[in-house]
Amino acid sequence: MYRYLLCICLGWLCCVFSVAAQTPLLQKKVSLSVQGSTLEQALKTLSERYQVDFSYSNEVINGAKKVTVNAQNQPLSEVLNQLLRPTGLRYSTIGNQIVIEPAPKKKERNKVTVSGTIRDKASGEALAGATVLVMGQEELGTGANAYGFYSLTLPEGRYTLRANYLGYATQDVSLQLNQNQTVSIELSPMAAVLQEVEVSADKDEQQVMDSRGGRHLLPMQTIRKMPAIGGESDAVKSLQMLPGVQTANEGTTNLSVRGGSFDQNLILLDEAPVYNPAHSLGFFSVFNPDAIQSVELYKGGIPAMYGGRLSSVVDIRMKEGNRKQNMASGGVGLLASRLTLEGPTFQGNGSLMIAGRYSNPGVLVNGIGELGQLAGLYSFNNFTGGNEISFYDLNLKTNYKLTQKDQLYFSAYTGHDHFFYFDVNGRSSMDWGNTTATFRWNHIYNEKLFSNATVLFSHYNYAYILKDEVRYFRWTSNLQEVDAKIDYDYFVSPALHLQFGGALNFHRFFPGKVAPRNDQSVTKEVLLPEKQALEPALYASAIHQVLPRLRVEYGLRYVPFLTLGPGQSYVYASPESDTPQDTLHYQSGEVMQSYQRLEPRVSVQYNISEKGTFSLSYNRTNQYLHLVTNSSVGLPTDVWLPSDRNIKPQIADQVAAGYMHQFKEKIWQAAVEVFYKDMQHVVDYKDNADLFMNGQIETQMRSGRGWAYGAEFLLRKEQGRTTGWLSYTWSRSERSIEGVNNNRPYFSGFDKRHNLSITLAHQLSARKALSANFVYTSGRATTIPESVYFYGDKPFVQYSERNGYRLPAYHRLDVSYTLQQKRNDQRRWKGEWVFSVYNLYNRENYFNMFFKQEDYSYSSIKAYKTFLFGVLPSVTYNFRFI
Amino acid sequence: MGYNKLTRLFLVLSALFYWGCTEEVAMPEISSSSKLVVDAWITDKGGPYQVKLTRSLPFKSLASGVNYTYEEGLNLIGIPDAQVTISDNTGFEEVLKKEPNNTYGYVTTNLVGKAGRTYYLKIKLKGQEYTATAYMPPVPKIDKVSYFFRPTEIVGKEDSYVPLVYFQEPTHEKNYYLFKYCYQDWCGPINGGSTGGRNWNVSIMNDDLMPAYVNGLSIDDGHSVSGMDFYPFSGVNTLQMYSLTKEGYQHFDALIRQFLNDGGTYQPAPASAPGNISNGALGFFGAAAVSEMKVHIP
Repeated sequence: MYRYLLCICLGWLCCVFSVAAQTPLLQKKVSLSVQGSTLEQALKTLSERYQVDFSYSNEVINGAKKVTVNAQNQPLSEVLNQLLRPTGLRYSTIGNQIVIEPAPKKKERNKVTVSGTIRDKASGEALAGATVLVMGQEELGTGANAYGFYSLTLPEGRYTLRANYLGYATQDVSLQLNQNQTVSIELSPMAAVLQEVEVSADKDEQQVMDSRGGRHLLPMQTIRKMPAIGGESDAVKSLQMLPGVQTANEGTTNLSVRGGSFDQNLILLDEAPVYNPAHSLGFFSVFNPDAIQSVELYKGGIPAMYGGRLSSVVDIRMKEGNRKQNMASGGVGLLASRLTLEGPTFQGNGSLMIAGRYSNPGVLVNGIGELGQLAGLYSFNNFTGGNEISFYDLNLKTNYKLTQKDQLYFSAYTGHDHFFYFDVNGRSSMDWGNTTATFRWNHIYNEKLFSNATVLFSHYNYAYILKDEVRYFRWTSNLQEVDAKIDYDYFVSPALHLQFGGALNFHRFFPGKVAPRNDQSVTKEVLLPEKQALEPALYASAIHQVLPRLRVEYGLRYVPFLTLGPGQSYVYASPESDTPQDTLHYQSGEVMQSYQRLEPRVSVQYNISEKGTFSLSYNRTNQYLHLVTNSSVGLPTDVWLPSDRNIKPQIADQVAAGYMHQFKEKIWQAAVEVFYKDMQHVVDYKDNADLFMNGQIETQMRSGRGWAYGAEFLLRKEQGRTTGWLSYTWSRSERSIEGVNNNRPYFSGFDKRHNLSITLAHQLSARKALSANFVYTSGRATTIPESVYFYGDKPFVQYSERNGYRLPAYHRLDVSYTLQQKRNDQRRWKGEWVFSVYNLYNRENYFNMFFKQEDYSYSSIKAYKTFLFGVLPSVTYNFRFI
Repeated sequence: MGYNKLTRLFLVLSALFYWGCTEEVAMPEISSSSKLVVDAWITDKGGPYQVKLTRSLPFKSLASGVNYTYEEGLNLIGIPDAQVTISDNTGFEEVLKKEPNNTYGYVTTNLVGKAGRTYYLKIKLKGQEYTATAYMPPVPKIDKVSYFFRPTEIVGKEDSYVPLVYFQEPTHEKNYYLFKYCYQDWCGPINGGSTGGRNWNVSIMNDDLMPAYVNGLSIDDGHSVSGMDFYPFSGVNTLQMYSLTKEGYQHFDALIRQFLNDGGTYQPAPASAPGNISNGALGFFGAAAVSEMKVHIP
């Protein structure tokens, strides 16, 4: 009790002191010259000479050491400091009185913890990665974890906390902190704010761009503002507008991050890895825009909690569902229709969100094709109907607050595609789909320690059906992953946030089975052996505010990998060898091959001023799973394989350095970052590789070194009527692989030197908005022939340099216009029309260039160009019903 | 709105749905050196066998396609002054004769190919020597050929009778086959010949998915240039089944891929066909045994 009171008193005194420190009393110029006198004497001198009142207990003063001071015309505060320094006493002011008392020992002021969850005010959903700053002490602050949980340990006192989240209005919370307390903060979405307050340059200070470098957060509402093909907003495609992110082919969801290939991205949906993020051969991503809350991209300085892929992490979080009211939302567009239902459950202790999307472009294709034939259009002469292209996806997420300290989450995704398009492949159809399920249990041990236990499941299956009366077979393949993970967040102090945990991932690969579809089929059943692997991981990392201006994140990840029997592996004389020398057989559960690696991760940020931050990062990543693909887009039938005796894990080291600057009252941010990435054991395929149902696929693969470097620039504005960003990347991406391109280095398929993207959104009024995208990139590297020869009565070509030729530059402009229904709070139905035009000025960009014999006669070789999208208008209607 | 604009509008709409729009563009300029091209196959059907020697052309030279006939084209790039020798592992050796009426052809006189033998090709040209080796794998005997009726999938193309082949597949070894369907008996060489108006009417298949007894396999199931063509009219046609080595199979596989090239978007990146001739020459020296059967289409 005594201690408690003392604390309060001291706390109060501190406050008083901090206020009084500015008063003129202490600024008063004084002169004092004493030598070896008692403190009491010195104080008396001052008191008499300058009419200053001192208050002290004799007990304190008499025990003090003798003092010596020689000060001429100095501020009283300075003189007092000199006087008291050797005595272990301190002063403070109360009114016009100066109180002398023993200085409190350090840490004597009790520290208490404020913790809680940051949520969306409208829906009650947790905001992952929101930040909380302690006002007046800007170096103090913390980031909420993936569940919106934050914790700050501070000396007792009065504080103002400021919560920020991209796309939300800043919220200040004042509190008197004298015991551990829970403070949950709710933020209002910016869109709502814009509607309520007639749009004006918003003075709210928003922490938008991550100063850590190598990271970007895109909330779904930012993505929605961007024009999209067919009006279908796409979480993955929007990432292509960011610096350091490329795509080899227009219109696909493939990402090449800082020179990496498209299988080097860890794409997580509520922590579950999604193995094929593409619908309809990559024209859409599998993520329904209505079901997604935010997308975060890590392309450098990857935190130690993530691992398994070389180049990036794309962390996609599903919406939790509205905790406050039931609502429906959705949309109808040219390509897809969506419906989402959400609302509170368990008497407000939880929420549920179900979202579905269905698309059947096949029907439209056939309709247009037949119409074209009827109209006698030349281009449709060879049109064949009966195309089947469709997909659906379903997302579900629910959560339940078990106790104040325990929260359960369950999220699931399933989506499937069916694809048969005569012109792509007239004799076979493809089916594929992902299913993921994640169960999570958040537990708050105390104000500082938070844990999340996860069990997740991811399944990817694909099938290839030969539509032939005689052979009539179905090729199926799948892979599964079951993970158990535990992650801890330990908020030691505002300056130190520890994260640690472990995971055990079990992979099962089923590379292929061919089964006859009926008795008449002349195909026999063939099965490629199943493969199993275990990928445990342990990690620990710290986010450490070492100095007020210096923040360091450092961590280490330990990642072993074990390929398990039963199975067999082949021994080759050399990596180029086609036929195995020996076959090794393994029993069930036996370790066939094991690897273990350490991955250090460091990221440093230094604030040179309130506005500017330097950052520096290094990370090492390993990738044990390889996508066996030979096409530039990737097909659903591409096989994933684990590292084994013959396929070495890929390793990457990346260093990056950057500078970020905020100006014009932090309305604008500019950032520049340079990187260099070195990759070992990256995979490419030998010429004419045969990958289908190949039990010795390693004979078709070649591995070697890859490297990429570049400079990225970003200018971003997130406030006011006009928002958006400009991103420019200059980069190179090269490979050097034995057995490919005659062992000479060559450019990777995603090497594009210049890459410029501009995305702008302008709020015309509360109801009307205009947005635009502009993209310019250098042409992609492609392989073209050097000579022609006659053989077997026909001309054929001889290719030279792999990716030795550049396609012409790519550019396009998209615009969209959104018109919301007249605002009426009474109305429960809120609709909006989105009119968009893709490729406004109808640039016929090269999708690819190729050389082949002229159709039918095959008598000459010609060069052809394919372009995908001309000017493409579309209309979408979106609604919300509350 | 003119006709072109209307076309474009449709294409634009359709482009969205994986249509794409493919158009011919000008050939890019790439410099290259001219190389020797060898086209030589031996079968067990009896000679004479022809070896064609030509040279490759820089890409740009064919910019507008080839507007002379095939024969004229070959003559323009034929090599008339080489010495060509073929020998085998039994000690047989023969120097080929130059065909008098063209610039590219060399023919054998006495050689009769036989399954199980290995053949050696040697070409001497302007002080350079080019060599190649070819083994002729045996081929199973065709027991029976039947057919089934397949209505066309493409408007404007005709219905067809697709042949089904029956044979005992040797399971103790890995086998590679090439099927060829010839109008009447106009078969031509394994890698060419116009078969009923359609060139490269072949399909290749390995035995990965074949049961021990192949009980009516559609020859159209193999890897081919956009499916084979069959003839809708009645008559007696010929089905040929060739045995290939792995090398020969990979060679044909790569050539067929060139016909199907789409620039590596949905298919593997384009690549040159692998050859087996030393000293950087293009083309192939192969040996294949053949099994034939007539097909009676009503």
